[in-house]
Amino acid sequence: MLTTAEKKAPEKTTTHTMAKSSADKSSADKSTTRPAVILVGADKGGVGKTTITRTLLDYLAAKQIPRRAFDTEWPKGALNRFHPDIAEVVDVTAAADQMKIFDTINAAKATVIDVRAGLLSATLTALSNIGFIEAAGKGDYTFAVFHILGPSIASLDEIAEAASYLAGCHHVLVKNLINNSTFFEWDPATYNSYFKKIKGAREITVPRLNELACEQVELTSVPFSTFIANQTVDGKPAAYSFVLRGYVRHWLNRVWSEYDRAGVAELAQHKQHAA
Amino acid sequence: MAVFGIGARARAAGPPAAPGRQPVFVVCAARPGVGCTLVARLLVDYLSADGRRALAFDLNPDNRALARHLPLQAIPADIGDTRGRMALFDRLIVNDGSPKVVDVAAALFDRFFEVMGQVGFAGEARARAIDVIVLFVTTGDQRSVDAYHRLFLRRGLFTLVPVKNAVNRSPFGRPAELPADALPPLAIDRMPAAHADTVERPGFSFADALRRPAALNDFTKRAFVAFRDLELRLQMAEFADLFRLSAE
Repeated sequence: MLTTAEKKAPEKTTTHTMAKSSADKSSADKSTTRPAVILVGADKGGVGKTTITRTLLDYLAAKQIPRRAFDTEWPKGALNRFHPDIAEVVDVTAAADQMKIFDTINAAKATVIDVRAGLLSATLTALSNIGFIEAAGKGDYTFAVFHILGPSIASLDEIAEAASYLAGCHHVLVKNLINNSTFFEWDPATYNSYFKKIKGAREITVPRLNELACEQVELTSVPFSTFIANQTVDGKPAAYSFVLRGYVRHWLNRVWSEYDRAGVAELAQHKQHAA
Repeated sequence: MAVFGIGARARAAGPPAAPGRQPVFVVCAARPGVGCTLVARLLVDYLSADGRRALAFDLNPDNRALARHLPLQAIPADIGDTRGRMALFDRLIVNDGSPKVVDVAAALFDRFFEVMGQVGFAGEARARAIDVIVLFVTTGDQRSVDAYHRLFLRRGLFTLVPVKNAVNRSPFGRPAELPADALPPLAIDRMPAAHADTVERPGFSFADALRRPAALNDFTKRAFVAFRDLELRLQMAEFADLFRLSAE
């Protein structure tokens, strides 16, 4: 994975300077309007990154924080299906697309990037190469990584690699139990060895969602909040099951209260200074 | 007949409540065998006699007595799985003008209110002008008293009415036994012993009993008067708000 990123290295120089210039601009009034970038990633596929990203986008909307999103599931797009209005499909390893993301970061918006499985460390490397992580460390940006943990663990390598980049940024561990009612197969020792090293990591637990409700939202391809409001993509009244909407509402409220508890809104509103 | 104006009501258009309002009655108890289904049957027959076609749901998976007695009006329901919950609650939340009656088995008492809370039934019902009225059949034991008080804590979500069924041993419902702002109980008489079998006969309807002079007539009449009384009281409560607003 790294090789792909490194192949693009020459082009990245341009990106680097451009990112710098926008960083300089924003650092003038950084105490109030620091742009926020939230990376949602995982050590493996199928742990519900896109689902978490969707709850996050709904949450930001509810908090009236302007947001935009990038879907790295290139070229197909998984997030794009649910949020076509704000989510753009990009290839995060290509310099052109990196420019699209990082040169347009502005203070008015929170940028959420759904990082495809296996691309987390490549993305972090790219961010480090363009000087973004360093700038975030200095407080020019708010940079947060949402690390989604599935019920079991496949490979620790990528986590270990990712962790080495995360010294200066906000790290949020998300235990995703959306499809699992029972238990979390994490060995506490392994867990601690990788994650307790990161200072100030926050923890969020996403509770289980009724599987029929989950399935129904997938089929309708609308954001969770739109489903709850019983509307179609274009805002017309829909006829979703009241019970299923009730389940989704109940579940989403619990997820949001987790975000509240972990201070995600404050993160995205850039009111908190970087560690 | 004249007492209730039943014939007149059937001819005159519309239910008595404000236009568009529709009740969902939940008949429940914390213990089995306290006459829940009897209250549900009386209620459905009362609504029919009043010219309103009620839709009933039999939430008694082990027995289905309500569905047996009211094959045309009562639908067997279940809340064991998501599909069953969808079939029940998705139907209850539709304001189609016909009153709904749900007969909840004691075994499903807690589960029913849990699901109701989870899917946010009360809030959506309010938004759709649906009045949720919980008829709780009381008995004197601690379990029943506790269950009543648990429901009473959630009285902001629905109207809670205790039901004193005289058949039960020491049903509670005297003013001293209820919280200060609780609704007074609805009283159901003891059924005349000679007719206990009659009402179990297939096809028996309390509304029919009302039309024929018989010993059951009095029992049914008093039960129907109790229901009418309850409806008037609930309507008065609504009007009271209106009066209060206009006075200010």
